[in-house]
Amino acid sequence: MKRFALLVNLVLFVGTVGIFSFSLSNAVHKSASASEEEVRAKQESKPLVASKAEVEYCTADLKTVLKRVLQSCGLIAGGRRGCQPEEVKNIAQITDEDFNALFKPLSKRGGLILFDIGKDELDEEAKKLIEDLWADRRGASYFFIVARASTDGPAVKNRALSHRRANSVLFHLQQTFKDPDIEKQVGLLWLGEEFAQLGKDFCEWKRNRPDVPCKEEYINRSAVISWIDCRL
Amino acid sequence: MSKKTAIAYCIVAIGAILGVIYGGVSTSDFISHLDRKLHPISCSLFPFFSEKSWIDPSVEGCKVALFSNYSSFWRKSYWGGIPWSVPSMGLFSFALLVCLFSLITRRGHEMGPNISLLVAALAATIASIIFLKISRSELHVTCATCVGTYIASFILLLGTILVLVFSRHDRFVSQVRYTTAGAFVGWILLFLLELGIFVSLPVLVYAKSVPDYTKAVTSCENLNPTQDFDKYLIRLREAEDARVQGIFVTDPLCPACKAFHDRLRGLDVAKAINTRVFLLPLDAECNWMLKDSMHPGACLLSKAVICAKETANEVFDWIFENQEELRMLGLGKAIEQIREKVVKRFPNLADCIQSRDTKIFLNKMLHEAADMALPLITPQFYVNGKRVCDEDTDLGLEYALVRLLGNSDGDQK
Repeated sequence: MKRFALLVNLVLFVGTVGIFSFSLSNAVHKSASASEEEVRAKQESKPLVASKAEVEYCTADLKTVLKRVLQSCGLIAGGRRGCQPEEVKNIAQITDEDFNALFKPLSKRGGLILFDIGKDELDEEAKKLIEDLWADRRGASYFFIVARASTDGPAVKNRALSHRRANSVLFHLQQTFKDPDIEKQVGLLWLGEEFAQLGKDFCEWKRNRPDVPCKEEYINRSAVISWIDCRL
Repeated sequence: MSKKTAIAYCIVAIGAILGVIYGGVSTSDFISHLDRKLHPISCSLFPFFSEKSWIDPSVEGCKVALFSNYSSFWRKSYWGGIPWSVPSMGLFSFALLVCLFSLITRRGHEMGPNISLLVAALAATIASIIFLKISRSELHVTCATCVGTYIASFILLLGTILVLVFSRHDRFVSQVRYTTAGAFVGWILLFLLELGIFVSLPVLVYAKSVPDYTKAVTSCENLNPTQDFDKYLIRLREAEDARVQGIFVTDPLCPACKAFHDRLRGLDVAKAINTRVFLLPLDAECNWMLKDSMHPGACLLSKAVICAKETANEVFDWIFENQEELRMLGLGKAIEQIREKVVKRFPNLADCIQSRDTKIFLNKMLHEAADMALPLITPQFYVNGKRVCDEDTDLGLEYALVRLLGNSDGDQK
């Protein structure tokens, strides 16, 4: 009788433990092998990563011009800061109209800083507009300041005046934000009266003087400022 | 063995079978996660009559229990650890074996089966009481499958008590005699040895079957910090024994980030990590990388954390404590109400949150993320510059952290 009991005990024990352990091991192996396949698949796939902004208006043409301007006017690879009309003409290798057309998609993004005739001082509204636009960087990489002068007066004087206007905006940014990155982000062009005068279609841009009638001579005593949402 | 004892064994068998079923369901759910992905789980007192789910609110209790530190042991040595349900199944299987033995041989009234059954029933009941207490006081949830196991334990104990009572009478009537004292002790020891094997062998088999995931958990991306990266890290609290740097990339309104943060704080191994926060709000209001906001309001709350500076941990904790309410406000486009809540709780942050400088700082933070090509997901956790893989942020977290810390001296291997 005791032998029978011992035999029953042994059979039950071996059977139960055996089935239990085998099932457990099998289930673990099955689930874990799926993981190895997953690791292989994952190594082949790339996750979505954070990146600078790249919007629709960043056409190949725009990027080409931007690159030339940035390289030659001191933003990429160091060097001096800023370009003047003759250089812009040569570097950009495009017509006045095409140059302005590049900036048109920025009408909702950028702003127009208007100056008094023959002056380069910023009024309070201009300062506020510059600061607001600078703070609204989003994913942009570069900030452009493109200053001009109206056709009143000699070209040489207007060239110097537009240079001072561009600098006024830059200096204000530097004084207000004291951010070393400004050096790496701001592109400066001064076009005087000789290249790419603005047409009335720029009247829709945000201005520091919205009440002033929008005439071509007024809007060319200006600096166009905007972040550019393109990756180069 | 009398009829009464046989009936008592039937009660034991019911408890044992229920225990094996609930333990089996829990073990099966646990094992399905060994592929390091999320899977639907069972969470019902009637597991064969209800659908498995991952999103159904009724499985929330089981999800919390499954991912808690209490669902398994030896987590540092084995990915996910060894689920407690494995030894539990062994215990109930042993009780079932004793029942079958007793009913087949009619020797269920002898001391060997009686004592070993009592040990098994007491172990199951004490474990159930401990786990019930943990679920009430620590996890604050009720896990239906766990409740099933508790019920099985109490049925097992009840049946065992009846077996002991009736067996005593049976032994007196049948006048059980052992040829030697050694035979008496031998039977008891045999059953206790079997009980030990039933509990420990499945644990060893499980441990032996789980593969080494070291390569997988250390195969995720490296952080490529920019020169200025440190400027944008927010210090929450210093870890006492910190010896390595951890970076927690988070969105204040991301529920997975909160869950991860809670899990991390509960781990001993995390005490060696000095964690700093990098904010990555998935809110299109400030994050140009998204077309639509996943967590509207996250930009505003990120600004609040930035503004808090030295007291960032207070703001951060408050946001996570109230995350569900804030998240719902955000989804309802009630950003102004979020602002009011923040300002009401932290009035000194009111001006800073709206300031241009804070907006610029947050923007620069996001540009840092772009410069580092940081994955556009939250949460992310980096230890020693190496990312904890998404698959290891729950069950495998402790295992992964030990390996990323460069310390593979787990608690067993």
